[in-house]
Amino acid sequence: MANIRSLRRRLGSYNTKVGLWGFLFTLPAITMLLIFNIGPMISAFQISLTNYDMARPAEFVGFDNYSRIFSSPSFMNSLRVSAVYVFGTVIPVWFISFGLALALSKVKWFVGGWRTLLFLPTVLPLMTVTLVWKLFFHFRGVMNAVLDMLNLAPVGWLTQSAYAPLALIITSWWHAPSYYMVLFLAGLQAVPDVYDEAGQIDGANFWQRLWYIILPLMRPTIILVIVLSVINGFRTFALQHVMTGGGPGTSTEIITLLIYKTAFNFGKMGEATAMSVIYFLLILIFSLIQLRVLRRGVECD
Amino acid sequence: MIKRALAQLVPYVFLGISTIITLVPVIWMVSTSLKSSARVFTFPVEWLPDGLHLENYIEALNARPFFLYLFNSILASTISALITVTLGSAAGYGLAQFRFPGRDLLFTLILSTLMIPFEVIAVPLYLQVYRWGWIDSYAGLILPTSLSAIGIFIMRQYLLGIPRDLIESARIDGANELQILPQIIWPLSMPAITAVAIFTFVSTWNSYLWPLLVINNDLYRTLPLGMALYENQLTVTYNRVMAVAVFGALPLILLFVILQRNFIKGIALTGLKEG
Repeated sequence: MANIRSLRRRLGSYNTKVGLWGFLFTLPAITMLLIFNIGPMISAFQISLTNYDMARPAEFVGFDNYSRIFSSPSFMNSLRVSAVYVFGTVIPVWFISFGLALALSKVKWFVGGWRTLLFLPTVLPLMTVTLVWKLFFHFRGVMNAVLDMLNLAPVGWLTQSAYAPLALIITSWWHAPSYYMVLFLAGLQAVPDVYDEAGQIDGANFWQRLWYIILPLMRPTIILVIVLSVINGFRTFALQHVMTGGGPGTSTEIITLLIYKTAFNFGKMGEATAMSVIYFLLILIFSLIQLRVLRRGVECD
Repeated sequence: MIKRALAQLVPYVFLGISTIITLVPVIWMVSTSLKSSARVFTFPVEWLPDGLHLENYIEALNARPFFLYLFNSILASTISALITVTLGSAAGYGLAQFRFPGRDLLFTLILSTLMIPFEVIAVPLYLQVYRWGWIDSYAGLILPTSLSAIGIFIMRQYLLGIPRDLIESARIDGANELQILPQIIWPLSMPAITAVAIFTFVSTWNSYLWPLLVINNDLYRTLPLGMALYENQLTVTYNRVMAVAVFGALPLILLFVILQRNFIKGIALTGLKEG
């Protein structure tokens, strides 16, 4: 008994000494995050309560920025534009990327080749993709050449507010699926074959097996893809900034672009950070789900 | 029987059509980068260039300091990858293999930064960097976005799987803690390190908003900024824009060709636990 107690005491002191090392190893990363992530997040809340414009010292204005934002048509417009872009993009992308992953899991010939080729949109830098599609939607570009082939009149894809949001969504239909395809494929491969085979023996057809066996087993992956794609959709900036600059008018002015313009074209830092805070809360619910999936995925093993 | 055979074909048909759709813009980009300016926009589309107008590349790449942009992009992406791998593996090791008061709190803090999209903190971060006089500098370009919390998270999850006995025996053999990290932990966690390095490199390569905010001086511009700026000129011809688009894509394509499997894993790991 005495032995165990002294052993425990020794282990205890040993652990605190070694434990200090654990803290020291974590310290540099924590410091970086405090300076560059958590600090700015806190000052976002602070600045959003002021009228700071970089020229004069900030004055506390309470929730003025927030009430101004919610009565401002441009902010409401940006929420609508973002929502249309995100859901117009992600819903087809879920089906395309899942279909691709499913097809990839079924083929036996040229398996690596298909995967490599289909992964290309994710390998290409975002700016390359943006420039190519900007030219595709040029008035004399490929998209209008296709319309011309179908005997349809050309369309101002990036110059008419009726078409510009669609042009950005079509670009993302091309660009986004390859990434989620890889996530779905990993999820599909984690489903043990025996379940599918059991379904086959019981006489279930392909769609029944997909619906009742495979999809339920892939629940964590499906939730993850839904959440990630929505978050990534709301985070888009470069595509809109380069392809349309938010125009024509404000027809493609997504929320990140409005924050950018409010801060850097008009110098209204208080208002821009207030928008950032609302934007943060908007995404938070999706991030919380993502975190749950991430942690649970880990605890399962 | 025939029905079964046809069913087998369905995935091939679907993959075939998808691959064509995937390749069309890429082929058009390369082809257009080699066309003369008169042949860029034609109805119907010309898929093959009228000769190999390689002068497009020479003229475009000389119009702006694209090789300097390339250097800056490589520098920023490499340093970010190094910082995330070094600090991330250290923190991951500390959190996974040690017990100390406040550990779980620190881990929760790291996880909570995962939920802050960069666009939310861009403005306050800019104001802070501005006060420090870091505008138009490598420090301002690289350091604020160099450490990704997801990198720490992935390293920690991976290092949880390393047997404690292994580290304990290294300690008994007289290795101190600062030696254990590079000599024991790094070699054992190569798959996670590669994945985190690739992920960080590629996301820094693609980053646009932050460089746009902190860089106004051509000396520090990265490739995405330079490419967008070049396209935005009134006098530009689009065959040259496509030449620049190809130029900007080559480094990542090269990286992909060299690292294939690791590359796909590295990109995919944002969502899934890996290794």
